[in-house]
Amino acid sequence: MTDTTAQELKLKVDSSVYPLEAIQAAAYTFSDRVYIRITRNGGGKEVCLLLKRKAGATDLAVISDEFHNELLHETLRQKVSLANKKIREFIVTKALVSAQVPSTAPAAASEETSEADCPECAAEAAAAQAAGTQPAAPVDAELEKEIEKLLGEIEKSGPGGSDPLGVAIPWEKKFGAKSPSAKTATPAKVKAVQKKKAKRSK
Amino acid sequence: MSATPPVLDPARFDPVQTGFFRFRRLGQRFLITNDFGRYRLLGDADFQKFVAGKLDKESELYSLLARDGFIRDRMDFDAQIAGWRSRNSFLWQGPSLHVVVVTLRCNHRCLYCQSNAVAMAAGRETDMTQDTAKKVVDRIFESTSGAITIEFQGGEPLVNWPVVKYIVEYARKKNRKAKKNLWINLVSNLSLMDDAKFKFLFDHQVNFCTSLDGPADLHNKNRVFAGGNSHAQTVRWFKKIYRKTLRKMFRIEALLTVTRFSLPRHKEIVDQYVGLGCRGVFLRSLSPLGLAREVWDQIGYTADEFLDFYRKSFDYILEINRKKPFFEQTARIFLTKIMSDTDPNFLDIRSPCGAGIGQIAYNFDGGVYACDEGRMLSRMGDETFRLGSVSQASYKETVGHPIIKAISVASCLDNQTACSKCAYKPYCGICPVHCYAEHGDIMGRMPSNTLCRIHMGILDHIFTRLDDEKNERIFRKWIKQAKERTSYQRQ
Repeated sequence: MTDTTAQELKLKVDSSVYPLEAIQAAAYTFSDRVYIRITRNGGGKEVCLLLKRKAGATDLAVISDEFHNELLHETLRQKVSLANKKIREFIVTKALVSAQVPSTAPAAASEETSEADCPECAAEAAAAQAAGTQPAAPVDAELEKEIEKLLGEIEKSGPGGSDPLGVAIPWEKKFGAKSPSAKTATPAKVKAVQKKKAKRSK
Repeated sequence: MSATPPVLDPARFDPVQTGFFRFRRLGQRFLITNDFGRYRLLGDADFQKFVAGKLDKESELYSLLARDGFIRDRMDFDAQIAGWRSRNSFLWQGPSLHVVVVTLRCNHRCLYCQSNAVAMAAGRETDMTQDTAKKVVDRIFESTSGAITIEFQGGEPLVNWPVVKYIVEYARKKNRKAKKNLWINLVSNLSLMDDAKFKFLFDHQVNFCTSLDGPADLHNKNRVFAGGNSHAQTVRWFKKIYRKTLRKMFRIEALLTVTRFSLPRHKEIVDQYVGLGCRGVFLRSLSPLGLAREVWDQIGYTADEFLDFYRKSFDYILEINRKKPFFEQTARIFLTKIMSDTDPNFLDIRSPCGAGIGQIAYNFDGGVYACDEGRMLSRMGDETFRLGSVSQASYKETVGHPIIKAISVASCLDNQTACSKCAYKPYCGICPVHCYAEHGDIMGRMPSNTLCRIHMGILDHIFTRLDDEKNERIFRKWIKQAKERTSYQRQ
């Protein structure tokens, strides 16, 4: 529902349909064109937005239409993000801390690889869908514990000593008199993986 | 009625079938990308089926999406992890680019001078001493990066020739023991070049980089030189160095800076670069730093004006490619990320940016800055990005400085509200110094950020053109040539 005046636009959004985060994100997208104030009404179910047009901005009716589309976009983005949060954390954490990465190029996927690699992901997602909720962690408890431990170590190293990748250690202290050739300058385990760059064709 | 058609009902999203993706509407198509940098352009119907997990599992599209990590229950973890590591390999390096400002003096007075160079008459107060130069080189060699590039900047570096010479010789000498992959670049207007200097630089395998803003009248309007014709001097030496280094590992490149005066002249500018035998052109927009900021009303432009220039130039370059290979450098950087599993390590467009962890800038007085842009800002009286001095702080203190941590956090796109959801996130990067100069805040505000708008406009154009197989073949040639000999790229 919109109430449009020349320089201001009031929008009311049902927060049981659109999550507050999606409303805020959509509002942020328009912050180059309008000033925005977000409030909740007394009952809390309705989110009210007051959009004030900035100089040179598009017609507020157009902004209203675009805003409603953006609400859908942001809601979808949020769902996709939440559903895949653990799986993404798993991939990035493993990429950052593990050297044991095979060199397989991303060939067309097969049933075997997906099931063997992360059977929990599919099972949990299926269960989540059946229950109408978002999927839970896609990794087993042991692996998750390992990831937590590694993340904890990185955080624990704290200010002054936070150098998990060793980038703050001067060259000579790190390699001493035996200066490696430039090509072997990266840590060996990283090098091993870098060598195995996955080739990809579109 | 909606301005653009709605995507779909988000409730139809299938969390079992559909893996993580970001999306953006491009005309009648939807671009989807993921954390591994894979992309696919989908029509409206296919996009909706993909989101809802309703694609035909026997279809070619489904196989391609599965291969590229878009299908959640077909994820090839090992391959995607390897790809992610490869794309982010710069995280394990350390500062490879070391910008050394040997003087602030310059014999040009360019309208947009982002370094705020001082006049030649200013005397030697802003020339680096040999003692400071030695400390700078010693510090550079402490870097954990196995590949080092020393880049002379200014002012005009040739004004302080004895120190340039000293650094080249001392660095080469040190490297006999360190055995790093050492590259030395000279960024110069070439007006003070002579045969003796060139012979020394050639013998020591120094790369050359000069500024060329297009045809003579345009170049000379932008790059004011009281000592004569800047364009003539630049082109004369460019041709000579180009000939001499033609088959060498080191060579000469030219850089374009686009001012308001350049906007209507895209063809002439590109023709100038083609005519000189350049492999490509780098269509760089102005940064709001230094003198450029002061005269923005006269030489600046909006992001949309720049993008109009960029698109015309880009399409003209595509026409040229029907006869000979010739690339646009910003596009080539993005295309390398889009079409391969490598990152060209362009320090200004990566996440996190290269400040402090990919590059360090050393001022004439030994002052150390997180990046060259931070050093430029100091010329405007703002020392926010100063990390200390080569005489005082240790290497560890320098690279572990809180400012570098803050910049890394700010330029990590996962921390940016708009960028983290943007379809272009796998390919993009932001400059916190630019954000600071534009918004007064290193985090910036992307919806109104000029660089963000420019990057998005360029990427929109690239993906639109990439949707044509003929162009795709051209782009593959561009990125095949993109295997740079240095370990970084920057503007």
